[in-house]
Amino acid sequence: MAILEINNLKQYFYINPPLLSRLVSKKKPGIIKAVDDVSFSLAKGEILGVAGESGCGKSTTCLSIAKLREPTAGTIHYKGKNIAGMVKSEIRDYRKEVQLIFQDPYESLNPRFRVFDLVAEPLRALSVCNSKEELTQRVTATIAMAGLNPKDYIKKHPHQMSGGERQRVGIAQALVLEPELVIADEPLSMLDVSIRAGILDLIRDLSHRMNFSCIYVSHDLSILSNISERLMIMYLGKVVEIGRTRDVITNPMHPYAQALIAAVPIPDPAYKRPIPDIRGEVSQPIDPPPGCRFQTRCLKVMDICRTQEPSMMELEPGHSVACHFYR
Amino acid sequence: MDNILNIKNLKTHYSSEEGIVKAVDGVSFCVGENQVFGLAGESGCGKSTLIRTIMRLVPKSAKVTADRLQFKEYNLLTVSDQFFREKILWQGISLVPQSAMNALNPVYRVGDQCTEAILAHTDFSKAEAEKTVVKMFDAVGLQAGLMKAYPHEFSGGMRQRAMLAMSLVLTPELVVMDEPTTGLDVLVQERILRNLKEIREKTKTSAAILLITHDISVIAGMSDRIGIMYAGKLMETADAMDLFNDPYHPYTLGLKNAFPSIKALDRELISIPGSPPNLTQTIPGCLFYDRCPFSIDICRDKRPEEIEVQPNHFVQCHRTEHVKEFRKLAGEKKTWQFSK
Repeated sequence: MAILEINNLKQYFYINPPLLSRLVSKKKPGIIKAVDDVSFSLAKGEILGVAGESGCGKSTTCLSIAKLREPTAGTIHYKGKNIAGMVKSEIRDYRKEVQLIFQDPYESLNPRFRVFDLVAEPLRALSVCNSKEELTQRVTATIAMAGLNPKDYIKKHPHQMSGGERQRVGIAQALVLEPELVIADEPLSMLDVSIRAGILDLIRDLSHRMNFSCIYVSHDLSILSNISERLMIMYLGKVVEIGRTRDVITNPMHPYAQALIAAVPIPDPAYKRPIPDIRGEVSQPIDPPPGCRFQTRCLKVMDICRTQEPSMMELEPGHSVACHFYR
Repeated sequence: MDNILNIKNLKTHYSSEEGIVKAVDGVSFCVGENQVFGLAGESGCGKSTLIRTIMRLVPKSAKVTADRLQFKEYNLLTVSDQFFREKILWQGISLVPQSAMNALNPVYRVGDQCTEAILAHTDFSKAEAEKTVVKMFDAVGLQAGLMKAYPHEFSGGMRQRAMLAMSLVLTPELVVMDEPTTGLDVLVQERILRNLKEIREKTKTSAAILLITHDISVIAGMSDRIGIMYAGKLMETADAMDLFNDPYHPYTLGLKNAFPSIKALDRELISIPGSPPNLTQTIPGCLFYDRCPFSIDICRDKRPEEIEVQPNHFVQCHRTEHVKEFRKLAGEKKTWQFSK
């Protein structure tokens, strides 16, 4: 059963230029459709990779799921319950069960806290533990699980640790509440390559061991191809392709997915890269034209793409694409 | 092939409260004419300090010594600042700085910033200078009309391409690029790297490139020759194919397994345990000793010399004669699970 069901999620931002710019430079109010009609579901224990260029709405989707932003429209059902209609006590439980791992471990840890307090903070804030012993026990167990020796680390401040160690603390913070859903937004992008594999392994192992589901957001398809079981590719607020990672990587169908995957650098000097079939550059999803969002950059564009928005079609079992080309 | 950049035993030491930081400690390599030399390494390995040293951008307090630091016929250790600025910068060596996205002056038009470089270094008229810039803009895929735009009107990729155009306007013989595509989206990155290749093929004055990045995949696709830097030292230097097909240094072996690739979905990734040493410490032995699964006592006690294991393939390691065995072992996860 799906732990998370997202239906027609929309997240719009309204731009209202100040009066002077409206008069002088004739700037008009507009709508940024950061997330526009996104639907997907996540199974228990599954790792879903979300890929796309900057501005495609992947982080905004995460914020909506984490209930840090109220969606403009659409529903998010967590374990069958609409998170928009939750009462206070339910929200409290939801916050316990849904946790975030942040991008930058240099910014996300409070520099004045010691590791113990950093990891204990979520437990204290939600008063999960009844006694001091229980708190200590849970914190040290989680730190150990994140691959750090509690004896050496609980007294340390963030500045005494390397980036990899800090990110492990960030992971311990997210996991100490034993969440059911973990949202990881580019957790490796600030880390060095030689230690990235270790953090990836950690997230994967723990997701199996603790059986939590994970939404893993990244612009790096090589990393996603390694960690995620299913892969979703977004473009300007829309899902263009979703399927099992292997299917999407080896047989991408949407022209955007094909270009994106062709552009991924390969660590092999003998590799001859095809030129990705794409033109132009990514724009902003401000007052998008009717039809497909990708029409301006697509080399396979047809008349219908300019008038009608493509809907998701399942072309292979579990592999769906939003493109008129396959109609 | 002549070498246009010749570096031998270059050291850049900073003094800090905790002692002397040996950011670059005895680096030797050459960049040939028309060659792309890729320098890869983790953060803090000294790769940025190395190019700042070449570009004379290190603070006055830094201590720079070298047996040789030569660009063409000029000894960069002794030429005066004025000569360096007037004759070598831009026309001889140009720099595409890290986060080039923020390197443009926000209150000048992009075109003016590019022409300024030409006017300052040549006796071109303004019209000639602008013509040159238009040509370069075209080469990197920017329309001539964009010269009138301000940096904030550009996207990240366009700014990066403008910086690239700017670094090439005076047809330098060496372009130094510090993480030119970091922070850009993968499609933009691909386009910029492709632009770069096309320009080199199209224009007759194909400059040599010193490319610095932490991303081995980018280096692999671009470079003729690769240097792997670790803790201020070049651990391994070889032609790109040799380095990937016959790596010698355990660090290179480890890095190869740490990189995910969409062409090898089933390959297990292996990370290198530990973290790089503190560069203020005095370490008598190999700097990779703590993280190396193949180290023995001599590695702890004695710094390895650079040896030529194959023609033009240099490695700093005591144990290169066992490399066949190491290559096999390095692909197994349990090899890297140890603690010292």
